[in-house]
Amino acid sequence: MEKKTSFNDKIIAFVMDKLAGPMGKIGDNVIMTSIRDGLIGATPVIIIGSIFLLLAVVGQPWIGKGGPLLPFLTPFSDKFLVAYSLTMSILSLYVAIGIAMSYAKHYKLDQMTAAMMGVMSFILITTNEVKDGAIAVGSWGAEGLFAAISVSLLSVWIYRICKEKNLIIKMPPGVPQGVGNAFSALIPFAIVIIIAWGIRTVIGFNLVAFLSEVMKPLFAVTDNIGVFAGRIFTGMLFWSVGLHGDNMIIPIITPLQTAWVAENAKALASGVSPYDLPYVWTMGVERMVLWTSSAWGLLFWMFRSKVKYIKALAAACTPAAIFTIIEPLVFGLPIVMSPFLIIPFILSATIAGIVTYGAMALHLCARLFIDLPWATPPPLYAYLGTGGDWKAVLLVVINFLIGVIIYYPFFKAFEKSELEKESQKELELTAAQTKVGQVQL
Amino acid sequence: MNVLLVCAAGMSTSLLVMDMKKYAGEDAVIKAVAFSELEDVIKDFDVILVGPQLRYKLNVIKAITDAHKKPVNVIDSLAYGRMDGQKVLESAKALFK
Repeated sequence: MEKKTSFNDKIIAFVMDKLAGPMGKIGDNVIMTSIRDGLIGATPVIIIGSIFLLLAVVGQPWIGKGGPLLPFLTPFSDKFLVAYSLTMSILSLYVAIGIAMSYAKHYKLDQMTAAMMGVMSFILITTNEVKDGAIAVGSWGAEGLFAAISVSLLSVWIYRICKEKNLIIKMPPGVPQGVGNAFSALIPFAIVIIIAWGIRTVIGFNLVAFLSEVMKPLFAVTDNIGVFAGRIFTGMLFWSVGLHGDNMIIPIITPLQTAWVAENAKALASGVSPYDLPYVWTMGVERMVLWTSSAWGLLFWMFRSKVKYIKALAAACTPAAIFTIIEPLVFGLPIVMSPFLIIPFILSATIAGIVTYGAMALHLCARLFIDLPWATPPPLYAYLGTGGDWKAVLLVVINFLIGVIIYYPFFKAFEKSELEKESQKELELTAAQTKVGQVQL
Repeated sequence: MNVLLVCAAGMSTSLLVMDMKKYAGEDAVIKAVAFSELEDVIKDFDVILVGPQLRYKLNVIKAITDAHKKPVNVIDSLAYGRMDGQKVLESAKALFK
């Protein structure tokens, strides 16, 4: 046991210092947290917009070769699409507001002002024409996400600097400073308007198109099976030592995932088959992979265990685990720091990840084009997320079986060890009782 | 004694809170919040407990709790996982003293 403890300690130290520490620092950076919180703020709009897209899609003969899945919805498809077009399809507008406010909150600035600056700067950096009362919102979707992130942060930063440097307009003698103050409040707004309008309308530089071109190769390099498997592996490694693995990775990957799922939605809405959508790595895919294998697979064996506390714990943890809440299981068994369970824990999720991603990459399973709440039970997420592809649900079942198979030998070893501990305890208890009996004699 | 639990999203911790409330008195206030809300509500609480999965954020959290002069500690991993409200409540009481 001594040897195992120091090896465990070495692993914790390594993971904490070399991996978790730096990742934690990146994730805690104010820019990252502002982006993350802004995206979270816009999430309800994205999810509900997703659902309207789903409703539009199941009334159309795109999915389920042949007729539409739910023909009674067909007459409403157009109206559902409008709701989608004004929410998820222009998500960058909402994200700009969210990020501006998050950044302001961190620096204790006025959030209303920040929200105004965020939305204003985004509209101005993307639009150079108002024709017949209409503006083009084509660049307000996934394409404009990184522009939204950039200008919302930049504009509130300008507001912050103006406030810190106390830029005020000094009035000539005899005029109260209050008059000057009323105009001073306009300074940051004036700066931002002039810069944004200057760039888009006067010079004609299209920031959205530029960033889109820059990000495309980055997207291509990131959305691949190796990086995905690496992300799964790293997240599970962090959980193994008792850290919230996903929490540390999410700030880095969420902006990309959001752009990817929105691009998939856009492609689908324009008639591309769900099997051929541009990106694989959406949030839903992670939810299909992570806990169905590493948690549900383990719970399967726990229910069959001869060890009393393990069986009881399985019953206690399952309701939450159905909704992918797995902390009771991870910390309660515990899986954390368990020499028996860490390996299958990490391995099952990683393999499930490779299988699932591979199936979608090979066009064997439809790709997801909507985001749902993260706690949605994975089989449901898989079905709805792909617009009704049963193969996605099959993948979830396969992931579960991967977990079941991989855990078997390790769980048996774990159970044997626990049974020995249990019988050892009972032996000691009996011995203590016998001693008491002898003394009484 | 008002106890604040800090978690990642507040979901798994709220299960623990429900169990703690069984053992706490009528007047005790126990709440679980996500880390992002900590600074907004900290002044209303006497003891701060951190979910074990946020251990890597302890330094950042401690900076906030020290500034408000509130005691803070990480919840015992096993007690947290087993939703042992009684044990966690005891540790909060010990911290409060």
